[in-house]
Amino acid sequence: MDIAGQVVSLPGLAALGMGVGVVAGMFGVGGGFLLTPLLSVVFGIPLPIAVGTGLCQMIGIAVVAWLRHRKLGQGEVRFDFLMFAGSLVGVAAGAAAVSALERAGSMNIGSAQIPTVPLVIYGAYVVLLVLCSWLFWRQAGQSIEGLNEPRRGPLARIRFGPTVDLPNVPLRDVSALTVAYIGLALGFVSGLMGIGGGVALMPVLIYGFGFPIKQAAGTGILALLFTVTMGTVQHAMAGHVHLPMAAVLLIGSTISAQIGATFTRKLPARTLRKTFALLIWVTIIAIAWDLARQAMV
Amino acid sequence: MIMPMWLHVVACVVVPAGWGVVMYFVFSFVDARRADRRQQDEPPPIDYSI
Repeated sequence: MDIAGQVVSLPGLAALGMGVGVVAGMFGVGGGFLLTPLLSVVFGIPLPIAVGTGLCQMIGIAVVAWLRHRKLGQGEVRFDFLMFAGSLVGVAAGAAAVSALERAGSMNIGSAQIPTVPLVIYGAYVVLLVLCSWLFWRQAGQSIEGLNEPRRGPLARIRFGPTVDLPNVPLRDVSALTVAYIGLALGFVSGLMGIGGGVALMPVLIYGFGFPIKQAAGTGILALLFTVTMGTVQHAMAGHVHLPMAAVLLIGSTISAQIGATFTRKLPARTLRKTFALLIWVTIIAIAWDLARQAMV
Repeated sequence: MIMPMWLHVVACVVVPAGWGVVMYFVFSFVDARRADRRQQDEPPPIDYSI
């Protein structure tokens, strides 16, 4: 398959999709934080196309997960609609930032000339991944029993602008503007990095607002669906989505996510969280290696 | 044949979403069949009426 002048092996792409799907199924994440950098590092696909295509294939994964959560009656739709207002603006800004970075060309760091797109996007990835890895490693030995009950987290205590009740969680008088601003930040990260943002949103919902885990998962997935759809539209208009590549990745990832889910039932939670943290570090090393390689060219 | 821009944008949303809906029904069907099989494999309830 020819992608932006780069010849990419079809079985290789399908294998990457399957690998990311297993991880997504095992850890209950979308897998975008792994897929986008690996598309660029392993296959040499230009980052803007990896970002746009990663978002496009995530629509399929988010639709399956959202329909399943909906059937179980999990999630708070009011929260999602409040976030949607902010994420609309955030995604547009993120996608515009990618296009602006593309136009900026390259930067000189010392004697090396590094293209601006990988430098900024990979930099953002490293910050996000280090934070997530630290959080997962720290929580590996902790019990999650207390997180199944609703609490009033620090973000739910903010009194700023109009407030709204969230009956499904249940939480009362939550600041609507705080939720919209979180949507804005999530949208920007999603549009810039090509991830659904679940890896960042779940800690915000569980620890920030005090959502019970199952309600957080149901709420997060609809917010994710909104965000990745808006991101895909923005990137498709900029010519950053390769639909056949997205289709190959999606077929592999949706099917293999079921295999990942069966691993989750068999492995202890502590092992799962530590494996996830290690996996994040492998991605960080791959990103660093790719940046070093580009600096040497 | 070059696809018009609007059709490309629509396809980028509709194709993965459509695949997601199809997979949801496939997984629901597989889950329902597994649940049926589990029920069939269970031993019959003990009859205490005697």
